[in-house]
Amino acid sequence: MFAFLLRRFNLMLSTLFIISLIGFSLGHLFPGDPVENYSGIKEFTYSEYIALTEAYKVDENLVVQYWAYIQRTFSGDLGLSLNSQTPVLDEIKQVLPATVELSVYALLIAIFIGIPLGILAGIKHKKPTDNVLYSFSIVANSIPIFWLGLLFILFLSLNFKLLPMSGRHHLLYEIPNITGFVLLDTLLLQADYKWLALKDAMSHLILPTLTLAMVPITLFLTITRSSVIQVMQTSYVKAAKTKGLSNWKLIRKHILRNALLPVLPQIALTLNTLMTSAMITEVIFSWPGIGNWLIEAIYQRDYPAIQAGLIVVATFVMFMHIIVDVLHTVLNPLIRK
Amino acid sequence: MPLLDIRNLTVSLENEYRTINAIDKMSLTLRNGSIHGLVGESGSGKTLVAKAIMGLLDGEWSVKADRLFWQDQDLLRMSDEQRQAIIHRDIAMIFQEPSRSLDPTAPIIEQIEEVIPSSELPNSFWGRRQARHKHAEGLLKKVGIKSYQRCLSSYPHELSEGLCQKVMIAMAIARNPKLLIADEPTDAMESTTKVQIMRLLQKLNESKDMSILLISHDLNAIANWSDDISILYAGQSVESGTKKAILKRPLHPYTQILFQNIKKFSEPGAHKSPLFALEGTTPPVQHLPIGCRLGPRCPKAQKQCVKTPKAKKLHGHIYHCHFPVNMERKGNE
Repeated sequence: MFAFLLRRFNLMLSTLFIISLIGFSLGHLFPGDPVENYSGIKEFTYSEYIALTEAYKVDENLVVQYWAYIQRTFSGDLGLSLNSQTPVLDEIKQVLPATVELSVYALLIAIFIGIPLGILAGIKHKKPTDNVLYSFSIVANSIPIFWLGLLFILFLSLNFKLLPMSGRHHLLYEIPNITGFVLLDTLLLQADYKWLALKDAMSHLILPTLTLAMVPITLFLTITRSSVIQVMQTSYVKAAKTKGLSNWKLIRKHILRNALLPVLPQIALTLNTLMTSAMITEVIFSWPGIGNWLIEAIYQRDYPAIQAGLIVVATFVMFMHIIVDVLHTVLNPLIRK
Repeated sequence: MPLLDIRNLTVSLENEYRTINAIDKMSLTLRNGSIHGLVGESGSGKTLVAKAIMGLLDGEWSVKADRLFWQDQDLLRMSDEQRQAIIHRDIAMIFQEPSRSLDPTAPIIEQIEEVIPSSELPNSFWGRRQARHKHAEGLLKKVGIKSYQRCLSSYPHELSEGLCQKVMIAMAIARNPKLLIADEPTDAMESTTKVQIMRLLQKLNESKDMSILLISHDLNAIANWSDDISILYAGQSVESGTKKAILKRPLHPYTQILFQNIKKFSEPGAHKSPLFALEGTTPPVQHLPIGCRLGPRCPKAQKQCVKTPKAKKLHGHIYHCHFPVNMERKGNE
């Protein structure tokens, strides 16, 4: 186990190294002056320029420059945004929680809906329930999510006026940004309209979360379904049937664990698609998350922001991967050996 | 009263174009308390028979029989639930490749504890856990596992094939079944482990009054350990009777040829003399001949053999052949 953790740690370090290498080289590869790209300051006096060149070691060789870049990154200096002239790190602190919140809710919904439905479909293999669920997952998987989001807005917000179509909460409510997570912030709110605001924030969450969760739901459904079908055909399940266990006990004790273990790494893989889908969803629902922010930065050629955003997103996804991987190893005795 | 009485069991696989009878009118009678050997080549349908008895076959197989009696109860004329209940109460099965028949992600203790019937445990809630654990240990001791503590906490992949089979046997005898179906229990094991497992089965048979249906292609094992023998060829019954009768006086040409070779191994043959074998190979299930399936390969075959021979009885020894061998000695005796 220790050797395994060490190997994962090693993997984490080397991946971080490659990510930082990419981030560093972007400063040189983007058009414009490296000093401007790294610092994000648009207009400087000659003396300021000299000072920054000195600080960033741009005159020296690439290794020294890279080392200076790493030191800067670790001390939290990611430069200023070219547009707003505020530190990029502060902006990321503002927008990242919104994305994490949206993704976590979508992932939870996908896990709690997709996996049970997949188990149901797998157990009822070749029966109408399975056919309906499997066709649903294929249809839902093939709908592009930007179109799905627009359909939701068209029907549920515009035609039936059931749910709000954009933002995190109504402008009426003043919700201070403490943690960055809208539900938490609303709960921390000390005001008479606390519960109204919470209800409002929830209703704002429904559509983006559903849109974002749709693809993971179908993925989990199909993966779990095929995994259950596979496990049901193994000889140990057939042997367990001769033991005289009730159907429910057989499913709970032997099928579930064996079927769900291979699904766990798939959840980590889904995170990648989830991050990409989150960017699209955020743009559609004007959700102030990192995807929306990053796409905005790309439009406006905000190089320090793009560079920092890429590093943050990549690091986040990589950490989640490693956490799930370690979790999987802890739970699966076959890998643990 | 026989324990298990099967008459004309047919197991067939149907598709749009035709029906294949993988098991064709096979009969088997199992005496109470005996070890009954079921012999056949690979692919002759031995496992199918076992699965049909246990009701383990998938939806694509259909099972029909004139009689499928378990202690005078017709298993085919009752609801699925009733049938399952009787089978779970009285019949247990162990499989070939025991390590694949154990759940790979659960420790042995969990898997043994879940088969221990609640009737064997005290009623009080507090004593149950303890009693369950004790009972599981007792079962492992009974099947001769010395390091039972370590075995209980292991996962199947940490145990040897022989140990896994012993665990399977321990789970099978937890409910004190009347019949144990052992489907090639010693397949792919070392010869010392083989003997251990077979001894264990024999001991259980003697002390527990538990009958065993021993399915194998290992003629030596069957000849050594069983009381009665049934022989299967390509899904058809060939011959069945007591071990003595079959070894001494086989009536079916197939049986005669089958057991000829065992004798040769025990006595020194002529140097480099060829072993006798039937010409050709066993037919694949898509190309089964009509009538007696041994027909094309049988040295005694005649025109009549395109009709399936009926079961004939001679001194409690049943054979399925139009032209049995060893009949002339009847006059001499």
